[in-house]
Amino acid sequence: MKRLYFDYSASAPPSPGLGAFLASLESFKNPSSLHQEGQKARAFLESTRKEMKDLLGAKPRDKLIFTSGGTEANNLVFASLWHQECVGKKVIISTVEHASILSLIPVIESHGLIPVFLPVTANGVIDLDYYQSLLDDAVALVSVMLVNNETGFIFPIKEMARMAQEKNIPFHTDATQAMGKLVFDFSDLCVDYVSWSAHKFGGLIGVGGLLVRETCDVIPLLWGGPQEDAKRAGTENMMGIASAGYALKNVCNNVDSELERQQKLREFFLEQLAKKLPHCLVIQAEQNVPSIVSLAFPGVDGKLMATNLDLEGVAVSFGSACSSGALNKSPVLSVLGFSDDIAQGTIRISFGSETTQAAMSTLLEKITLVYQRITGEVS
Amino acid sequence: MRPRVVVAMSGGVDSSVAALLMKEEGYDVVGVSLKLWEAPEECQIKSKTCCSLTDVNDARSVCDSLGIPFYVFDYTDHFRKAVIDPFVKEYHWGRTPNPCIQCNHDIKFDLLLKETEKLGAKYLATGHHAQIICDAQGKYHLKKGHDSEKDQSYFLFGLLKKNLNQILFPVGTYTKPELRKKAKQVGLTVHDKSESMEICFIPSGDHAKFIAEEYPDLKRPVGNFVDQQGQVLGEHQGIDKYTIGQRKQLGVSTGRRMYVTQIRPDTNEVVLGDPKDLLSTSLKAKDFIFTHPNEKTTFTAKVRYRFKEVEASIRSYNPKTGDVEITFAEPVSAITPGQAIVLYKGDIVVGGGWIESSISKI
Repeated sequence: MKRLYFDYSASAPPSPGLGAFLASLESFKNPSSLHQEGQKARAFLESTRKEMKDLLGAKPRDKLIFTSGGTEANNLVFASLWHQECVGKKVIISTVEHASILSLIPVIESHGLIPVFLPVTANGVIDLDYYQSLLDDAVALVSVMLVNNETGFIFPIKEMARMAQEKNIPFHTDATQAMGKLVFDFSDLCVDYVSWSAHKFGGLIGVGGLLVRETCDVIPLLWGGPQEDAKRAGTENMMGIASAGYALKNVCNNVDSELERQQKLREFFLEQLAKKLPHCLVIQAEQNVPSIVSLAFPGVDGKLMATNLDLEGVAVSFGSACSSGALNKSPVLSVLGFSDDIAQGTIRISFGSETTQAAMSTLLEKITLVYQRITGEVS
Repeated sequence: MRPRVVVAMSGGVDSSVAALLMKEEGYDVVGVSLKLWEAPEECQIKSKTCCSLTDVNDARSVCDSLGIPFYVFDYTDHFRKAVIDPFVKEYHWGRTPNPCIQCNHDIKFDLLLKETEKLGAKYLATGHHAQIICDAQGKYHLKKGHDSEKDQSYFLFGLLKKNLNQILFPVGTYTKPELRKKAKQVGLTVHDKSESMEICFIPSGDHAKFIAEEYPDLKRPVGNFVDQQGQVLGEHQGIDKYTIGQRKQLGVSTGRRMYVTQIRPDTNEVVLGDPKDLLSTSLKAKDFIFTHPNEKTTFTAKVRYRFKEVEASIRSYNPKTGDVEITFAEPVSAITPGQAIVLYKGDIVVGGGWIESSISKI
């Protein structure tokens, strides 16, 4: 049975040709070494950094710090607040941030800062008037994700970052779910920090980065050597970085036409779904990335939907998993104001460049099949 | 391929071999581990119980080596309501609960069984040492496990109310050493894993401490130890710390060996006495399920898990209320309210219920 993969938001398949590209590279030596082998690696590292910065719309003096992924990049931004000057200041974050930010709340508090939450409505709206009212001298950082990982909501980061900029407040956006899912331009976004992760857009797992505006800075999380401008010690993950550069180039090559194609796939899927399973609820915002579809089946156990689909050869995602891998309802859906009935009955479908319309049709068939199996209903 | 079967996997050797046997028989096997309670971090590190992270990871690695899919279902909320809450209340009322029976009845063979169907599976298999057989009339019976040392049919009497034809006990015809050998032969890393003996959600084994920490409102206050005549012998640490027949950790010195013979929740007293004070010839039980056609015949009975069966007969039984009175051919020691009485005819489980009280002490 050929399996169908609808969990791009967890990890996307490798960018086409990535394996061959990596195999074609000479084995990297330590880019910090003085010898010519090291210099060669260093040159590759820096040219990849430059290429990526260009593709992401960063200016020459903006910094790109390579990390182990989005989680580390997010932590790196926040760790820069752990110093005396920030004590008593506020940190504004949305209620639907990734766990690598939400789980920092007790740490934020332990460093004497005050977390302030920005609520998000069930249809993805952030009250910008309220947000603006929070912006004052006492805010040390605003951190709001560009695209929500569970729903695909796109938040108005440009507008929000501008408001922060007017008050000289640093603004961070976690763009882990945004790369390749929308047209991205660092300079245009007006933000100061951007986190990203390579395996969400076709690079290897284990590499990501933090874009830092020229005028801003971070305090390292990892101490040791002077790598990454002394902002992130440890020998660089060269293969990972190479993969990130390669994948980003691929993604940026045809982002407009691919997004258009994905939008059509989404519309096709949702149209058919509405016919087959009219009870099903689509959780979406006015501004939503096409490739994340959050589907709620009220009263149906999403864990059973996702498990059943997996057994039918279709990989989708459900809620959040704890360290044991136990599946539970998504905390994001709960804070968006959805009842348990819906939060427990929601699965996430995320797709991408390799997804065809035929695959979407099969997905729909399988969803219908397992929905009927679980509920005993025939539509 | 044969039908789909969900195997409930604890990460131990029994359920691992159960999955292996199902796979060898050609079933479409799906492994499922249940997350039943939130393990405190120290237990996760020590990993003594069926719900710890290491056990889940063992189950996962067994499934991986068998090439079968594996999922973890979070039943924490259900387990608390169906098993832990009643467990604590039982102790609060001076009884000694048996949470494993409750879990089998309400979690494994109820909630999981229902979800098994919803996963398109025809059967639910577990690693219990018990057997299900089908007689000539096509009727299914619950039978003791082949390994009499390990037989777990006592914990499974609640299944008499369920569809036994949906349940499989693949290891029920094997002895434990055979299972370990089989696991070793195919290279399952869990082949020499030690068995869990404690109640899974109380890895320390100290239930009174658990109640005091997790359910402080239900913790019983200190009170008096009294003798059979009502004379005060000393102070006890709260009735929820004691069980009928208990001899150790009483903390009273009377010059002779004393046993807990009765727990009186109303007066907050724990009665101590001699071994003879523990003997009774009959008991009352509730929620009794009975499947044998003849109520008047004689059976054998177990009044707790590690117990040598005694001959027993039904004095009275009301199928509507589930109330039953059972008499024993010989005096039985330490009949404990909250434990189960299970009746057997030969190797077949024919009845079971929850002990309310012992009667007619000698």
